[in-house]
Amino acid sequence: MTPKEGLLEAFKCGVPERVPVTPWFGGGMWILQDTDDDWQNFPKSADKMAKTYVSINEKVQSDIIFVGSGMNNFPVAGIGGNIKYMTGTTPPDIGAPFLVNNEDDIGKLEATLESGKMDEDGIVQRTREATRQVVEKVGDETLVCLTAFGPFTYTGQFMGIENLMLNLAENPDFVQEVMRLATVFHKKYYEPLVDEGVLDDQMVVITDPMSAPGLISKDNWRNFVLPQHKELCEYYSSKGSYIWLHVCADWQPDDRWELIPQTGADIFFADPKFDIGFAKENLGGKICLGGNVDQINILNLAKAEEVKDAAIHCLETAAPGGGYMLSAGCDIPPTVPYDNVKMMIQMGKTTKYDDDGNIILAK
Amino acid sequence: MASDVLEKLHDVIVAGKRADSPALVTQAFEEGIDVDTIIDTMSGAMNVVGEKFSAGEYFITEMLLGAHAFKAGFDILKPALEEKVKKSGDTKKKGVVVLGTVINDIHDIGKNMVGSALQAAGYEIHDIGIDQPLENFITKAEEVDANIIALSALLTTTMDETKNLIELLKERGLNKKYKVLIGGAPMSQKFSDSIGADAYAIDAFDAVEQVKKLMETIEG
Repeated sequence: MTPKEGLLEAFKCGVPERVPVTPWFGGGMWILQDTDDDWQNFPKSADKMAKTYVSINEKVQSDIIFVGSGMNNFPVAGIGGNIKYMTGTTPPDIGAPFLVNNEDDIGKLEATLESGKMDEDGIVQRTREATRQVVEKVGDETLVCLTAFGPFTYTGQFMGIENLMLNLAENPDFVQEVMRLATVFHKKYYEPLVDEGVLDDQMVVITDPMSAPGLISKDNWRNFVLPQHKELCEYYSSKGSYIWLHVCADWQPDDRWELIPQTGADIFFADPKFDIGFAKENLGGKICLGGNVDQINILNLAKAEEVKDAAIHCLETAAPGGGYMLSAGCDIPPTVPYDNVKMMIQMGKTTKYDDDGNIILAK
Repeated sequence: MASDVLEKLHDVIVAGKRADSPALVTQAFEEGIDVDTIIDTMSGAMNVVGEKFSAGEYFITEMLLGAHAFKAGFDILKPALEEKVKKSGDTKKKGVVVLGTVINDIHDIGKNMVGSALQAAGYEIHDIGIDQPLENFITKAEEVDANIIALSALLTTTMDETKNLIELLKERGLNKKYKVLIGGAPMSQKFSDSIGADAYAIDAFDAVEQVKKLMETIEG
């Protein structure tokens, strides 16, 4: 069974030969640190990007390669969003002035999306090309995805997060309309790769940190976020791609758990702040779970032995019966020591399943 | 018959009806209600907003609306507050906080809410904005004779700036002069302890509690 076959078995909530593993969600900042490059230079060559992802994965041996990690804001810049480059490994961000300030701007955004402006953007073109190359080189054995934010987060980038949050209460129809366009935007970003079949049996990402519990209510999540996630998952599934869903932050036991499988995503990637045991008990068998070793307090600050202990806790709690991938709880800082990354991978790759779906930890 | 204007003011802040609070503050003035009573009412309303957030009843949207409603009323109140301080000659401040988001980080919602919550609690706030070099925090703290420097960082790549500020304060012999409060999504008490910050706040209303405790240690 290849790493990819194992992962796809886990996506079906089945039992692979061993526990699938990735040390991060994305890894873009860590990879950039390793290459000693910066975010302005890195996306200048698709060939270089593709080679970097492949060569670093030869070293790290993750079961997933996340092309475009740390670059989720570039597509917004591709349609005219105001991108701000930072120093070091901090990914560029979108700031004011925003594309949509009031309802009068909706028509302009719609026209921009229809105009194909994003497809003319060099970084978008090269990121898609890097995805093609990585899929071509390793896509048979390793699952490859192109990363992106989700529609609620892109809505925040189109209109400003504070404006989005205030309008959720004061002008919900306006937000719904921008959300609809954010979903169109997400599809347009992936569209050429989907149409070419590059992402057949590969993966699409919906990471929607601005829709985190604690930021918006369950009712708002159900009314604004869920319909758009559902639409995206239905669309990409119908095209033969798998969908990775991640929403950061603290999912409380009495919160919106039951809505997660309703999205139709293939894997839900759990933040370290949530109880992986509760997730397994309530979502196990309904959606594959990934997570949730703490990327700051463990991976970044602790020693490899503590990484091992944290991984064992996740494995013993969430891996039995399959439908689980060992990983960090969110993307890792660039300062995470390589020994800790290596330990994460080792823990996944050496944890086998028996015929009854019980895990066998390596001695 | 006594007017219910204060009750209404309290309720519009809790409900986040930001368009309504200025008129109610003006009405309260016109009815002769003193500035302390009005500000106490508004602060009490913000406490309710904080309690509802802690209880999971309110989220960022509701907190922002409450903070905007508070600020819109406070802006009406501010000249009267300053006049009162001037007349009384009582210039003792409850606490002075320099607040900002660290360099390479342009997130500002959390920082703004901390500012509103602290302002509602009676502290003097100097918000230096987003994407701020460490030098600017220190310069502003020196300028306004601050007690506390509060740093926000929302990214794993920027959170180490909080550590860098603490080291810079030590280098300049200012670490005893200013208490350092940190907050932001990737941070934790463990991280705070590891870098030697004086306090960590999990959210805007916890920041009020942390500032209160820090001020108690300063006033000793």
